[in-house]
Amino acid sequence: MTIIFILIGCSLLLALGFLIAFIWSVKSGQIDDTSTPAYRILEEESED
Amino acid sequence: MSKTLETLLCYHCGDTCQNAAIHIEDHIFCCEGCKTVFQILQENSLCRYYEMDANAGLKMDKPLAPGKYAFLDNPELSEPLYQFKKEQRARVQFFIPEMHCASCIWLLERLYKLLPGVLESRVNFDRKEVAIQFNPEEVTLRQLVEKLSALGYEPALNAGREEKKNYRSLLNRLGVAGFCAGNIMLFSFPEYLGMDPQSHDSFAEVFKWLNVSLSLPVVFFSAQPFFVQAWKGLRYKNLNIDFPLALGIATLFVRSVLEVIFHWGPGFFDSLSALVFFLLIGRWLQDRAYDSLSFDRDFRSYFPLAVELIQDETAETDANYISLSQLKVGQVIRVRNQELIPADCLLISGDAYIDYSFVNGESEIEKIDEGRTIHSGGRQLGGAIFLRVARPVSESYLSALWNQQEKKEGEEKIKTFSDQVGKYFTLALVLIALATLIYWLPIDPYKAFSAFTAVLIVACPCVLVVAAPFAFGNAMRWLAKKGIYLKNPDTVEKAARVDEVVFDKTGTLTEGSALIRELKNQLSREDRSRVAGLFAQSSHPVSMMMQRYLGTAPKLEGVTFTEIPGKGIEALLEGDRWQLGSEKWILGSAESSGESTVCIAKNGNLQAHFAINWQFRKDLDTLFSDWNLPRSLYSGDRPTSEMILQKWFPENQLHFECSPGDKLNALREKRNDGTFPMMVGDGLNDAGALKEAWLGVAITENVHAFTPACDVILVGKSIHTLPKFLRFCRNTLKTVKFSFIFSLIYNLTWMTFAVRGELQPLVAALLMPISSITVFSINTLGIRYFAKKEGIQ
Repeated sequence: MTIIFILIGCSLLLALGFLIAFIWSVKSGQIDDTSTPAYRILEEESED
Repeated sequence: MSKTLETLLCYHCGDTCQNAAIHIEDHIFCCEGCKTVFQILQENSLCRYYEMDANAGLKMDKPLAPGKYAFLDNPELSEPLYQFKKEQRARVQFFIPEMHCASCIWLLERLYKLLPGVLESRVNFDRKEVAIQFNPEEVTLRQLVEKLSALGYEPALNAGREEKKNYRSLLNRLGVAGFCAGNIMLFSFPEYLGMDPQSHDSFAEVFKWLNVSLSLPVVFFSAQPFFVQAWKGLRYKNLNIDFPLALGIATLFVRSVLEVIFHWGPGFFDSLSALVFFLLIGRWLQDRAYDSLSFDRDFRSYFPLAVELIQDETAETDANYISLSQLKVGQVIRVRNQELIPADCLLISGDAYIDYSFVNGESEIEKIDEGRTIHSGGRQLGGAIFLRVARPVSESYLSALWNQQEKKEGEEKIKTFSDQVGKYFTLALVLIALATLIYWLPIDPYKAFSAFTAVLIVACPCVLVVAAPFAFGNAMRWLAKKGIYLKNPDTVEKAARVDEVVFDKTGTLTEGSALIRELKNQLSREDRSRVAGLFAQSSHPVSMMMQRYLGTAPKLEGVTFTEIPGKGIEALLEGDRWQLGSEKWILGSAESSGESTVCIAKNGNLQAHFAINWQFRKDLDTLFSDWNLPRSLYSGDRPTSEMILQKWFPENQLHFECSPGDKLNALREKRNDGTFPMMVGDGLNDAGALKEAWLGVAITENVHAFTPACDVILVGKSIHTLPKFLRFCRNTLKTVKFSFIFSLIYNLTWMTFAVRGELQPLVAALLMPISSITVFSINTLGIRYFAKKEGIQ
C-alpha cells in the first residue's frame, strides 16, 4: 500500500504545480484586465 | 453624387459639418483638428481606425494650447508620473477619459507606429487606462502626452485618481484557498464514504495530519483579511460584519486541531477550507461589482456642468457653453452673479466678491483684486466677472463639494437600513451563536461547535450591508443616462419619500426663451448695448433672455452692480443710475395688463418697457397628466397665464409674486406639517427653497447653473420625466426592501436548522453565497425591470 503514499505525493505535487501556475498568471497580470482582450481579438493583424 | 444629398458628416468625428467643411480626397471634415488627425493616421497607414467603428474619432475643434505640457520637461514635475524609469526604458500609465470604442484600443495600441521611441502600449478598457513603455532617450514624456492630445486622447494627468484596488493579492489568497480546499476534500473522502478510520490506522492518521498542514495556509494566509478587519473593528469597539466570520473560522480551526491531536475525530478541515474559499469568491465578486460602479462615477462627464466660454474677451462675441470637462487652462470664461467658480482662475476684469461659504463654511465675502487667483468652489456675488482658467478643473472637487454640503449643515442623515443592520444584527447573531454553543455543550460537544459555526456563517449579514448602496448606485446610473443627475446614492431613498411637489414657474415650467414685445423703446444704440451689458451680469432667466434679445453684451468698465431678488437690477454706470426690473418696482404700480413686463429706467426715467410672453414647455401636459401627488406653484412673477396654469394646478394652489423668502417659508411650513415636499426650481434663484425642501430639484437649460444646495440636477427638456423619476425611486426602494426581507427570511430559516445542530458548517458556507447572489440578482433585475417600465432605459 506504500504506492498510495507515492500517489498522494504525486497528486499533491501536480496540484501544487497548478497553484504555482495560477499565482504566476496573477503576478504577470493576466487576470488584471478581463475585457480588453475580447476587443483585441477582433483586430486583424494584416498590416503587421 | 449622393454625398451632397445627405447631411455632411465629418469623416473623423461624425459631427454635422458646418458650411466651412474641409475636403480631402473623398472625405469631409468639420474642422482643422479632425483633418490633422486624419492626416497623421493616413501618413502612418493607420486608416483602419475608421473601418472598425464608423466615425470613431473625437471632435478636435479646440486646438491644444501650445506649451500646455511644457511643465513635463521639468524633471521634478514629471517624475511622479513615471511608474518606473531607466536610461532606455520608462513606463507610464495614463487615464484617458475619452476612450470609448474598439477603434480607440486599436489606435492606442499602435502608438509605436506614430511615435518612434514608443516600445509598447497596452490598454485596459475597463479602467480607460493605457500603459505605455517608451525609450526616454528617443522620445520625451512631453512629446508623448502632446501626441496623445493631438489625437484627441488627452490624458488626465491631474486627475489624482486614487489607485484602484488591486485584486492580485485577493486572487492569490483565493488560489491558495482553492488548492487547499480541493486537496483537503480528497483526503477527507475516506470519512465521507464511511470508512472506519480505525481499520486503516496509518492512512487515517496521515490524512488527518495532511489536512492540518494544508489548512494552515488557508487560515493564516487566505483568511487573513477577515481577521484583520475584525480586529480593526474591535479596536474601535465595533462589531463589524467580518467579526462573526473571523470568529467562525477561528473556532473551526482550533476545534479541528484539538480533535486531531487528541484523537477525537477527523475535524472540520474540509468545511473550514471550503468556507474560506467561498467567502473569498463572494468577496471578489462583490468588490468587482462595486468597483465598476464607483468607476463610472469617476468618469468626468458624469458631473453635469457647463461653463460660459468667451472666445475673445475684447470683441465680446456671443458666448457659448461648453461642458466643464472640456475646459482647458488658458481659456476665458464669464461667471455671472450667483454662479460658482468652476476652477482655479485668475481674475481678468470685473469686481469679484467671492463667497467661499460652500468651501469653508464661513459667510465672509472676500474682495479679489484683478490679476489675483480665485479658487474653485467660491461663488460670485455682484456683477459678471471674466476669468482666465489657471488650473485644470477638478470635477471631483466640485462633486465632493456637492456631497459634503449636507454634512456641514448637520442635517440628520437618513439612516439606511443597512447602517442599523451592520451593528445590531451582528451583535444579535453572535449572541444567538453563543447561546447555541452553551445549550449544546453539555449535551453533545461535537454538535455544539458545528452548530455554533454554522449559525455564525449562515446568518452573516454581509450582503445586506452592500446591497443598498449597490442598488441605489445602479439606479443612479440609469437616471444619469436620462439627464437626471443625483447628488449621491442616498438621494434615491430621499426621492422615494416625496409626497408633495412645489413648482417654480419662470425657467422651470417655461422655456428659456420667450416672445418679447416692445411696448416702449427709447434706448439709443449705445444705451441698448449698455443695458445688454448690465443684463449679462445676472444669471436670472429673465436677464439672460433679455440679453440675448438686446444683442451682444460689451464688457462694462466701472460699474457698481446690485441685484435685488424679486425686483431687478440696480446699477451705476458712467454716472447714470440704471434700474432694470419689474414694473411694480420701477413704476411703483403695476398696470393690470396681465402680462409680465420688464422696465428699464435711466436716472428714474422710463426708457424702455418690454412685454414678455413666456412659452411653456411642450411636455407639461404629459408631466401633469401622469401625476397624482398634491402640487402647487409658487412664482415670483405676476399672475399671468393663469388660464393655462389652472389646467395643471388647483386654483388655491397658485401663488404669485412670491419673493424667494416666501418660497422658502412655504416649504418650511410644509415640512413642519410633516410632509416631504420636493421643490422644482431654478438652480440659482431658488437656492434657498431648494435647500429647505426635502428634495431640491434644480432645472437647468445648459446645466451651468450649479448650486450645492440641490439634490438633483435635471436638464430642462427632461422635465416630463419627473413623475417617472419619483416612481422609479420608489420602486427601487421597494426592491431593496424586498431583497432585505427575502434575505432575512432566508437567513432565519437556515438559522433554525443551524441552531438545532442540523446544519454542517460546509453547507452553511455554500448557502451564504447563494443568498448573496440572490440578493444581488433581485436588486439588479428588479431595478432593470422598473427602469424599463418607466422608459428610463
